[in-house]
Amino acid sequence: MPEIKDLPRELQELRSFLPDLVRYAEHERRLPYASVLVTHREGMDALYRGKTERVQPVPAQSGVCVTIFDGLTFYSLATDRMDRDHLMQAVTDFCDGITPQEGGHEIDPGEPTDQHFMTAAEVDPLSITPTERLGVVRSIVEQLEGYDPKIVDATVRYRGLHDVRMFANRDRLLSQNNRIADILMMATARDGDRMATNHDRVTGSGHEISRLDPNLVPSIASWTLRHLYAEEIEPGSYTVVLDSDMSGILAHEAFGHGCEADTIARGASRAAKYVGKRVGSDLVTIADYAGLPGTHGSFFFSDEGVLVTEPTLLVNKGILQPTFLTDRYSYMALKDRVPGLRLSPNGRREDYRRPVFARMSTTYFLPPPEGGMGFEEMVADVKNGLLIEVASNGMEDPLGWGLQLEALRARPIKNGKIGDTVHHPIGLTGYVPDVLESIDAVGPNIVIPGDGHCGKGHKEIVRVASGGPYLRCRMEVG
Amino acid sequence: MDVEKLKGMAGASGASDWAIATEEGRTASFNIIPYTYFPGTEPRETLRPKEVMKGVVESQELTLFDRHGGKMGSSAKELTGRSEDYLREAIAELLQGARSQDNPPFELLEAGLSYDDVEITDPEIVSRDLAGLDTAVGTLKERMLAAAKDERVRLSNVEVYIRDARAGLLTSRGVSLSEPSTRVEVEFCVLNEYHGTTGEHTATLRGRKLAQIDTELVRRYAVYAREACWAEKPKDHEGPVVLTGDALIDFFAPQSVFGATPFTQHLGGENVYSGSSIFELGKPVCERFDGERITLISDPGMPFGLLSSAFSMEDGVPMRAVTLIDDGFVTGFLTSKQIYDYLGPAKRGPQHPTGPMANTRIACGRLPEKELMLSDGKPVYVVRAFSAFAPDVHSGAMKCEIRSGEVIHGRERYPIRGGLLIGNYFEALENAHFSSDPITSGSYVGPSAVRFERLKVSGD
Repeated sequence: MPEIKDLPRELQELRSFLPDLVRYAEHERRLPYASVLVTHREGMDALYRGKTERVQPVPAQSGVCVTIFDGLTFYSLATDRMDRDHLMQAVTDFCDGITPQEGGHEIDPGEPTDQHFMTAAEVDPLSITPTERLGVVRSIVEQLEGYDPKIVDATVRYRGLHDVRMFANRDRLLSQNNRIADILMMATARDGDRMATNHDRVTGSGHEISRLDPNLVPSIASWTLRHLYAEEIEPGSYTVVLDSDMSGILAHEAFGHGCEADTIARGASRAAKYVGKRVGSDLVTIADYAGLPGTHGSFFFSDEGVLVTEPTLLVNKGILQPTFLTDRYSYMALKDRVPGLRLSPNGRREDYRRPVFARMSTTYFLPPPEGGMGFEEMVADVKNGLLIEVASNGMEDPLGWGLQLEALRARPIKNGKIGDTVHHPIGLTGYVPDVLESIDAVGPNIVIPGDGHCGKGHKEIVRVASGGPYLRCRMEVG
Repeated sequence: MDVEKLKGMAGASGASDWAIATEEGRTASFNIIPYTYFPGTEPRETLRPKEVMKGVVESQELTLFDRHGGKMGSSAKELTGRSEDYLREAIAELLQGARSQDNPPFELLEAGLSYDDVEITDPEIVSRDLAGLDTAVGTLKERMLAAAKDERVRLSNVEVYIRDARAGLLTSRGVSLSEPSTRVEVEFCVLNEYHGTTGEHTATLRGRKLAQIDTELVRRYAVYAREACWAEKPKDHEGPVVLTGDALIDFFAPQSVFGATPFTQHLGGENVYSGSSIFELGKPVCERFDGERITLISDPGMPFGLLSSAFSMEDGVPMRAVTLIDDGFVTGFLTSKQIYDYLGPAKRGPQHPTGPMANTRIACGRLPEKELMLSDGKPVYVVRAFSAFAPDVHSGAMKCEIRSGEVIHGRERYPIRGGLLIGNYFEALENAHFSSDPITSGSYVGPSAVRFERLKVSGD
């Protein structure tokens, strides 16, 4: 049995009991497949917002989801009670209404294994006192609000979190403690009725993230003031250089959502028709990988017990790949119809109470294998364009291949020089294949900035990340 | 969880005050994918849902308040354990958190206030077990398919979420409140074919009752899906833009988890207190009015409204209808008891705390919707759905992609898709006309369409 001392005591005890629930459903009740997922968050927020302070635990989202497969349908029972007697009784009652379906699918539980994972951190994010945590927040607030009288308000949240997931099926007993530290910083500036904001965040695994670059907070404040006096942009089609944050959200919205296999299986993604075909220029390579260390989209196994082993390549040198992002259901529905399809670690639940869907993890553009173009060179080639920085939102359109991205700001590029003018905020749209085909330069380094959250449609929020190198393309900007 | 035991432990903790929020009930969700597809293969009918999920809701959240040296702090935790050791540790953690904060003091709500009765429970949901709800959801799906009345129309998926729970609030000041409610959400995607091209439209229907789910809307969304097959990217436009349907509801009362508008930002009492609201009592919400003036009411008493409730779960404040904008002028702000005390009589408006934003009630205007669509020589752009309506809530800047809409120019009408609606939320209201036809949807009641005379669309 692996070392699991970093888990709370009640979870350590529960972990060893999970296989009993699976055994009961499969052996006593003769049901084809059963699994158990436990979600638990333990954390602390120090928050300054609206000129008041808060220090409080992070909502726990703590409970158990028992899933039974009858050959056609997954039946899931969610409860926040974790005591053994209650769980066994609840599973006993739940199994009463489920009977195996003839001719149904079989599920491969995977290679037998018993493992525990924990993200590396220099200083555990929960090892500091509430006063220390609030001290970090107060220091940032003082810097932001003290920078200029026009900065009228600051919102700062310092979160330390253990995001624990445990999974069992007949052959697997897995647990993971994803340690997350995250500082969100936002400033609001005001001049009469004119108002603007700016934000940034640092994300990592441990309290060490609180050793901020001394230029970071003044930079947030300075950009807030520049946003306050930003100029309107002339809407139109522009050559744009996207920073890593923006290239990441482009990857996420363009061929992240479109490659989620449950969306493909229900006929709502055009990607299905383009497997093996060109969807972008030779410079377009997009992957999804939960195994990048320290990103907000990292984890060790999915909520369906699939281990993270390697990146899933979605687009390779402009050609759409058949290796979609699958959950168990979409994999079963498509495996005999899509040569090359694999069960990937993308079946995720927001928490124990929510349904499972095929979801992204960390989605990013890759630099060309021969090395990318440097940022200065990329900008130097632009006669009349824009540098787009800091993503704030995005929306997918997997069937229509539309695209909406939002950014905090744009700066003009004229004859290879970045101008002083600032436009804020910025909206970008385009037709996905046109945008990806127009990519004519990609930088040499992958950067995965900050954190992210993604809703499937408008709900089911899971933590994700996205990024990549700087890249250059053409988009509609307003 | 033994609430009496928890009250005893909280009372003996040394905290100045405590509050316990509880919720008990159940959830059910059904994820249906009627057919699975892959190009080059036959569609396969799926006889059963992908996932049927039953949830048991039983949560308690404890908040401890601490007064120290003329300051005050509070800390709250969802309790996940039940043992005495666990509760003792949780209380110590909360006290430490509350004592580390230096906020100005405020008075907690006292018992003895009156509360309105609000209809927010569906007896049909309450009476059905999981199998019964499964049957009801199956019927709902069949009604949705029947509403389309066209063999080219297919449902890509139907996700149904049902909640049936009772929320409660107990405090050390004697407040003891309890309220049952139900809620249903149906998210679905309609596919429609036209000459070998498939278009889609995704929508969510929400309500407190199963009977509120208007399956007839599938027909409208199926038309949008078909139009998406040949819809054009709009041409650049500066002039009248009419918002209807989901686009209009997103504008005034967004119901997604990301829902916030420039109004909810600037009418929020905490933003007034922090200096990040541009609104002041008695001041207009925009610089001038060339059209009809907006009246906006937060209405928690709307029968089966999505945001109807008798009290605020934050602090027990009785929820009452409050006019926040009256004929274009700010008349109140949204306040918890804490923010109400902080703002003081000169800044807060109503003579009682309001609680959070409830259902959004917008006053109707003079002209029927069809007259707002008149092009009168220049084209009118109608937006029915945005890809994501996410304005900058501070500045009001809007840059939102059009997912579904049409252009009306004289007798000509054609669908559009793509392009950006560009403008400013507050400036748009300077010259707006509200339709006289009211609609109710989720947490919105108000005109079915609003015409803004000066907005831009960036397209071809």
